[in-house]
Amino acid sequence: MATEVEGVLPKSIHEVVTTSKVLVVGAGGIGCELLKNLVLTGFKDIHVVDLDTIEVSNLNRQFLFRKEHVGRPKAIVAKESALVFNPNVNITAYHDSITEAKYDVSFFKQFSVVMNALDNLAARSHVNRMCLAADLPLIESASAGFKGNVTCHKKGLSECYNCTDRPRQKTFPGCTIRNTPSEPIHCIVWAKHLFNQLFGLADEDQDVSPDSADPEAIGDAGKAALESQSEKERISTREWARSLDYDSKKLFQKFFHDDIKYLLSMSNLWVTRRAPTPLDIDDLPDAVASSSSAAAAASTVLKDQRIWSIAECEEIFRESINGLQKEFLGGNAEPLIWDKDDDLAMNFVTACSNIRCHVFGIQQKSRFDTKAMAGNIIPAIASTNAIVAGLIVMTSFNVLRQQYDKIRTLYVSDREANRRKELFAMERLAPPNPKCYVCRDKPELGLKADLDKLTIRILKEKVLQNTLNMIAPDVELEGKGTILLSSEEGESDEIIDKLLTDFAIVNGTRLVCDDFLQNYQITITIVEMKEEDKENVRNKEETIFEVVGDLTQLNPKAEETNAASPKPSTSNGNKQSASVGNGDNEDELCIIEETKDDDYLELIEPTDENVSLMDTSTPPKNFKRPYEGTPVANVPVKKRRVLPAPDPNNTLDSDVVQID
Amino acid sequence: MVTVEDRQERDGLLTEDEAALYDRQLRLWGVDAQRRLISSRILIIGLGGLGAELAKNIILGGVKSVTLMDDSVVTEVDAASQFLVSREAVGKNRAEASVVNARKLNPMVKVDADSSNPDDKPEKFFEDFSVIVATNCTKKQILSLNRIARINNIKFFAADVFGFTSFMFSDLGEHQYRKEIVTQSTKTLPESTKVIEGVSRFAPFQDLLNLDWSLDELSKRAKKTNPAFFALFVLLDFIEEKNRRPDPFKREADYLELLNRRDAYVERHGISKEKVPDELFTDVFGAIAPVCAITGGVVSQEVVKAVSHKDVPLVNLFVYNPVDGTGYVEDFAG
Repeated sequence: MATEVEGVLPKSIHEVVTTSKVLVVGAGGIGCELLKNLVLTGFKDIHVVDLDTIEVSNLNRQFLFRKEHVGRPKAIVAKESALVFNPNVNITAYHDSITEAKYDVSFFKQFSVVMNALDNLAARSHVNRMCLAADLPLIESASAGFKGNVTCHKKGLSECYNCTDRPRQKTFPGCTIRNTPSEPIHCIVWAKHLFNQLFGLADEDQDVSPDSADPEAIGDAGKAALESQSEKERISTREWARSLDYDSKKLFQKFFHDDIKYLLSMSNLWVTRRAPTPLDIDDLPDAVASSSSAAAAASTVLKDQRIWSIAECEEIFRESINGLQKEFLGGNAEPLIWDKDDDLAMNFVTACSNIRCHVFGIQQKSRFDTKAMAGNIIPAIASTNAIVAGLIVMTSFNVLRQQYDKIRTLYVSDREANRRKELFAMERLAPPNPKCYVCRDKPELGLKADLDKLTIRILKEKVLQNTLNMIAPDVELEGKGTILLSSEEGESDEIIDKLLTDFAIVNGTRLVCDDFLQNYQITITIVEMKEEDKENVRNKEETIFEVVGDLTQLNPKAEETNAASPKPSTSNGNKQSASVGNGDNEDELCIIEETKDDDYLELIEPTDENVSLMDTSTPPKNFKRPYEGTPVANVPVKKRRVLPAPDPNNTLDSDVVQID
Repeated sequence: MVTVEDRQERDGLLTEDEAALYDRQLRLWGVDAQRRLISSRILIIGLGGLGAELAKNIILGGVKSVTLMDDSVVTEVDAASQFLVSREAVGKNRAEASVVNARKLNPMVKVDADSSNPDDKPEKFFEDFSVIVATNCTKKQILSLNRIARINNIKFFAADVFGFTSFMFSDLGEHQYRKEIVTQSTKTLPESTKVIEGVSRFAPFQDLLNLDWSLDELSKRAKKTNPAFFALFVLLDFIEEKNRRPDPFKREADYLELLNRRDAYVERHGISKEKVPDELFTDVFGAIAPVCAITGGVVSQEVVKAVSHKDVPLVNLFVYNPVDGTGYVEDFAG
């Protein structure tokens, strides 16, 4: 350890290193590198939390793990391996989720600094709140491919993790998935839904049959009748498959022939689109449509890199259905959980999505590429993680000496230095956002919703947990003391599917939402959605709710002016995007959200058809969402985070280098 | 499981096992780059903290072979950053003490130790390597290795960590590369990949040492150059003339000596003294782990670029400035 050799570390750093207690959250790509750096530098009391176990695909970078460790908990093995560097260090390992109630504010308070080496937004948001509650500095980090970043959140001094928008899930309208796919990803999502319908946790929002209620396809007349018809059909998909004993030929016939014919009958859909072609199982093409690319041809040795012919897909469809059926019915009849690392499940999705791509004339994808999309895999290498973990420790020296003025947000950029010749671009820490719904005093938000549809369950799961990242929320009506939702297990079960209006909640009702563990409270004012908005929402299958910012601070006049003439200087930071997800890649270049690993991320999973978290057609005011467009006058304009690029082409470069 | 022996016979082809192990990086740099990696032989000279980081990243990356070369022994200063050697290894040869743990990082890579001094090796010895990375070397050694690399078309890197600061020099000769630019899909067009080709030209290490900042054409540039570059030249001079690195046990004396050398350097080059502040010389002792990690990461990525001919390499001098908290790249070739 550096502290053991007098003179390597300057005295001020030597002192903080030997006396500080450090919490590392995550023992994956960045976590492994970080633990090594901390132990070698001479930190003496290190705690590490990780809920994950080791997989083969971790071994190319998570160097504390080796083949013989596969299947074991990351936190425990990381501790064992790091102790070899210096047996005299105290490392405490927890194989656990950091969101567990036992890691409460008093647990956090024992540390001098928290270092996040996480891979998902929910856990990051949670740790952010715990650090705010415990008034602890948090060093946040992320990496993806060759890129990474490191920053510091310190209560009252700099912005918290939730002060800026974080890119959310890409979502796709239900109609696109069920009726009119146009990209491989649409077919992959459909295939995952089909998996769940047949073998997994059947989710009514993941219907795979043609959606006859598609507003594009029909007029209003007869809509209700058709809806109820598809309702019936949906419920029976699995039963139907079971009654056929999962006869793969009949399944194939339904999904890739009958259902497609039905879609063709909705002729309005195909006026401007290329119509799909139903497949005849006895006459499948065995040539590969678009495998002429040199890369694909050159890598034929690897089965994963090759694009399968449709005949091959059918064969794998059959095999995987047989295998999955045995797993599903043979075991304890538990629903199967789709997992990209399960060969049968992955083969099923690859085969199904490719057949569907073929039916709709969409470019087919190799299993390798399908896996990336279906499992939301973020490429990762040891060297970027090493750089990021090094920068975390360098940042910690300033944090622990409380020299916050020296701390910068650092961006490990795209392999080339920027105009200032910095290989890691620097940016001053931004001040806290006075409108932040997390770190400001007494946070408030408005919730615009279709009260005819808003249930307590949607409020809990979609609003409080998924959007506001609470873990175990309690909700009561302000002033009345009525408990609407309790975090105690079972206490709210009976009423969870009731509408809010059943509890006399109307336009203007204020709800006090509280997460005891996070020591976080927010007051939400209900705003009834206008009738025409409701109509819109129903037709387009868009969100039935929208988080609209702090109503007590709304300043309509300023907003309107601003909306009319967006400031050019903010155009990169707050660009409006009409299409969800794909349009706005400049932000993705720099604000790297999700890190190294994929393993429990479901980024490209569409949310259900009615409730979309990413309703970009009507950007919410005040409450800043990833792709919203309207800058609000009294929100401090955030500096654009796009790195100045020396090469104009560079800005086009994306996170993922395509292999095909 | 593919063994090292199997690997040697399967040049250029990826096995299913390798595809599974390298999955996450294949998704980053592609199958072709990985193929070039598994055919390349890397020589790492110097097994201090930086050498250990380089060995880790390069071995994990999946090359054909790595040779660890060092004629010095493990010292207690190595404990600050050298994670491949055990604490009982003090006094043993650094390359030999590192090789066992280095091999464990990736059983598909052949890893050897060589306890000789590069000065004692015949030129022919180096011809076998695709890449030479020289750490903990003197200016004289870097010059000599750079010359051999140039003649034999070997990609060459020199790098080092001095306490909280570090550098990387690279000379890839006339280096051709391809870079893929992925355009995002739009409403009308699907995502597409465009490949651009380019050539980077490098200056040999000799040219850097000969830089005279007092010349008209350079004095202007000196003003815009990060001071850590000047501090680096002062440090390299110190090591060359004293025939040792700054010593943590002589912290105060070495610091003063470095300041004197800095004064002489800026005067000789017509640079103002304020341009190269004292604090650049306060923490140049030993090698601390985070700076080894940062520098090792940067150099390893450049090694991958050099071998794969994919992406634009850094040209041609990188320094980490601990006072600013970031790294800078300066092109001395143009």
